[in-house]
Amino acid sequence: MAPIIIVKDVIKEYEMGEVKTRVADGISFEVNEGEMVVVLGPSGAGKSTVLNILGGIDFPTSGEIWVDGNDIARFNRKELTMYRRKHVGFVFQFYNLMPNLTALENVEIATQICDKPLDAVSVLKEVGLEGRMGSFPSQLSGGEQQRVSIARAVAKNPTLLLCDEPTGALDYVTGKSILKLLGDVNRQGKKTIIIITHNASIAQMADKVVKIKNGKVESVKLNANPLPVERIEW
Amino acid sequence: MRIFLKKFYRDLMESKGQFMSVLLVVIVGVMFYIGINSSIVNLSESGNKYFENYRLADLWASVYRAPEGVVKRIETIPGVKMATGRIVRDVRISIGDREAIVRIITLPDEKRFNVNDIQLKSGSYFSNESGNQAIISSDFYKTNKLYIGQILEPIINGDRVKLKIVGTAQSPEYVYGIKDGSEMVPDYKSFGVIYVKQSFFQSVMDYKGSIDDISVLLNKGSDIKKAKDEMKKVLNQYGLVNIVERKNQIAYSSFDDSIKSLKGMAAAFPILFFIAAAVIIYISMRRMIENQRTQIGVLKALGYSNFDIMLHYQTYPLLVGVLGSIIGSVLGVFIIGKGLTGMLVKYFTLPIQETRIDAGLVLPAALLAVSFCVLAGYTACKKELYLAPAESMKQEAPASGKNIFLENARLFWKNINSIWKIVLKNFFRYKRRSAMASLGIVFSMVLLISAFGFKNSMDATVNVQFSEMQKFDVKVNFSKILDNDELNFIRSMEHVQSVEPVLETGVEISNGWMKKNVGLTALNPGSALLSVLDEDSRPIRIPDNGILLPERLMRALYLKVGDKVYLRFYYPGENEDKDKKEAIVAGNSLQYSGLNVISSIDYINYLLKEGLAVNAANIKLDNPVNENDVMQKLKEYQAISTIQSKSEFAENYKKGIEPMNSIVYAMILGAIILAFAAIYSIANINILERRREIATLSVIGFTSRELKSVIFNENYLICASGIVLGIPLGRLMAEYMLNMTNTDTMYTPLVLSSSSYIISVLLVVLFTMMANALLAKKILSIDMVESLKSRE
Ligand SMILES: Nc1ncnc2c1ncn2[C@@H]1O[C@H](COP(=O)(O)OP(=O)(O)OP(=O)(O)O)[C@@H](O)[C@H]1O
Ligand SMILES: [Mg+2]
Repeated sequence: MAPIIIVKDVIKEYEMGEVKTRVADGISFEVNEGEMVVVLGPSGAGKSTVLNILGGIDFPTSGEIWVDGNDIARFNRKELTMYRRKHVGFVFQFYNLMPNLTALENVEIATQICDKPLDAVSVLKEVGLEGRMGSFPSQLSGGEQQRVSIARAVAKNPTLLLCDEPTGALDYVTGKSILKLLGDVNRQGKKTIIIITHNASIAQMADKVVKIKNGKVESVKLNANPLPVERIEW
Repeated sequence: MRIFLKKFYRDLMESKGQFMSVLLVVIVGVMFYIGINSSIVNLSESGNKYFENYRLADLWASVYRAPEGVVKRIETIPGVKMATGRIVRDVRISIGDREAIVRIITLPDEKRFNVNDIQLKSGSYFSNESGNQAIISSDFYKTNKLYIGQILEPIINGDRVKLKIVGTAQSPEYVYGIKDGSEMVPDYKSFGVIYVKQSFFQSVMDYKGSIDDISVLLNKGSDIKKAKDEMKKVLNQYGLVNIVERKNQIAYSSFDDSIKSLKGMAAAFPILFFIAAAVIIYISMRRMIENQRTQIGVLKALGYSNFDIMLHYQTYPLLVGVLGSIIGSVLGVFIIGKGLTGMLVKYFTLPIQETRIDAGLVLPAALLAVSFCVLAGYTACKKELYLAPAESMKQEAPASGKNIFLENARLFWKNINSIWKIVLKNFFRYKRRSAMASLGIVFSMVLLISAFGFKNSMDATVNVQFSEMQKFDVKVNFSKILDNDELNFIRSMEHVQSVEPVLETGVEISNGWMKKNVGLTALNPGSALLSVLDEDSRPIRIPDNGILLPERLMRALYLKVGDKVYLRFYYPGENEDKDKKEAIVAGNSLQYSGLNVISSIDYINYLLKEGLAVNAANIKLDNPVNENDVMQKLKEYQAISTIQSKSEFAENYKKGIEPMNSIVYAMILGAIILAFAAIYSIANINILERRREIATLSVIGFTSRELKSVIFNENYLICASGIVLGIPLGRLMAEYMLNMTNTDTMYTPLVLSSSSYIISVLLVVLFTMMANALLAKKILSIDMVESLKSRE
């Protein structure tokens, strides 16, 4: 199977006055269609940087990022917007919902701009928020808010789902239920998912584990038998 | 404290645009305040000094003919400080190929102090050489390019009399150089004053030892009514025509009225800007404080007092207020003040003081500006300041969403797109802020509509007056009663298409004890060359059983249609109380300037019971290009006292009101600044606050255009609601402004064309779009990665 994502020699530098810091120093890895990839690494390693570049909200200094046959590193602003619109679903640690829109409206805001969106109501049902569609973010718990944000990402029916520490702000049980949800989206919805986490145990549910350290890929491991989330403890 | 200043400086730099826009609003407010007020002070101080130094009269009595000795008797009346007897006569004069009217006023043969004195501008006072020396009012002299030594030949009593110019002068009696209440703006080409030796004019007029005008100066604080009554007693036997008080004297009252209307403007406009500035400051400070509540808590925990912290935050409004006052004062005095005074000096003839910055004006303006700013700033931060430090260090409760009433309109809510949902929810969620932002637009609309209303009304006046009412081309007045032969003679002149007779005289109209001296114009009922309109601008037929009065005259005399009034005619000999004639008010008539009784010639004849003929005629030409020809011929006719060309009159009027346009432009400029500053600064805050939301939408894949419309549509919504409120308020303001300019003799009804509304709306939308264009960069430069990195 041909990989759907090829990240090749990505370098990201920040210039602060005279000093240049390289936060991504030649990152390369591949992701196949429908794979669940977990990215691990210490704080400040450059994980978010890579994910943001992959999601089209940040630019590499150099390198290639092939997604579905296009090198998004060469996209201009407009093309990047269209790329995000059609191909990417983002889930952040801090949900980032629109505070004055209801759960349903928060999902609809995404579905309204896509070509082939899923039905917002049924996606919300799938993430277990059937009864909370009319609630505002401030009336929802953190876990519920994260479900809305996952629903928002999934409902766009994107090519890939990018999750930056989706459970970072949640307790154990809620975190686990969110990971289960992502697992289901990956297995049943056949979505390519990349999850950044600090929790090495989660790696057990992945098809592929990418370890990043000091802006470099330390290792890429394939996991022949990923475990369902229910069977992972940490 | 230095550390606070550093912090303040950094906060300031973060929102430069906002600071600049609120500063601009304060500057404009102070500019208007100082500018208008400095003109008022300058004008009224100069005026008062002028009136005092040259002894402007308190009372003018006009009689048929009285012996000079009567002046001494008037001077014995208690309260009278000084009286001067003169002969005053309007005569016709040809200057070049133009006709003009000059008012001949006699002065003592040798220079003496008298009431209504002159200020000599060039040349010299009369010498004891020849009798026919003349001093010319300087505006008339300049405009008609006369020279000292020149011989003028006015037609006096049917004869050409040679006068030799020896000097030029101006007098407070003609501070506004119009002939009478029927003129709206001075026309120095066709009206001027000529001062001549009293003895000379007495012999020309066959008035040896007699006078017909007594100007009286009273002691300060004496009772005008009493003096007036005493004067009446003395003068009645000499054919008293009327006694005019200073407040009703045409030049003085015009001067006084324009100061009053300036005061009205000075009271209304600057406040709009100060309120707008206060609102912007309040909103920006609220945001700053909300963002920094943790910091405030920390500072307090560190031991800074509330006062220290308050002082720190008040630096912002204080700086705006102080800087705004300084810059605004300087610009106000030298741009608005100088400009406005310069404009007013075009209308008024008086020695004006040099424009200067007056501490007596700057201080209240600065105080006003600073207190508006600081009060807004204080209100914005008082809540946070009195929180316990621990409390303020806590995060504020997360913003809660709420359903807005629009969602109840299900069908509507379902069918609008998410961008509009976000916009509407935000607009209604921050109701107070939206309302405050709209206020800027409301004020902007108010300024625009009242500016256009002012202009429309002026233009409409010109249009109605010169094309709907006056349809004649030339109007002539005779110094005597006209007979039919003479009318027929004019009718038979070449190029004359039609001639209509007119009777013009003065009357005293009274209802019980209330009386007023007004003009009377009698026409034939079918008058086509001078149409009579009612106050709704509809043409009406002149009744043959009653008189028409302007509504304001009816109000002043507590009259309504159907009431009886008494008219006393100022026809020589007809001035005893027993000569009062009863007349019936039959309706109203539109009169922009002057106060006139309108009636049919037949009705007047019926009232006076004698075959009174006419003394003026309206003339229509076959083609206006022949105007000069006809006027030349009419000039030969010595019995004609005045010849007026409507086109010249209209031209002069239009030129006369032109300077008013600069007021309109200034108001439009103010409106631009208001609308722009309000939208810009409030949307700016909106963007700063909603960076995270915008970044999120951008991540989801909203295009630049969609992102912009999230903010822009809200601005349009603010703009729209401001417009909806601004239109009726603007109309009210326009009405208020015109009321300030309306006086007894001047009446400008409010006219607001639909195009003015449309242009105002378009302008406000345009300003909003301009502000949006500036904001676009801010929206698009929001860094997604940075904005979403952490919890705020
Ligand atoms: N705007 C910036 N300017 C300069 N350096 C930056 C900027 N943004 C990120 N960095 C640096 O880049 C490095 C990588 O950051 P990144 O957010 O990718 O780390 P991370 O692996 O996601 O860490 P964490 O697990 O803590 O989220 C960090 O050392 C950070 O200091
Ligand atoms: Mg990270």
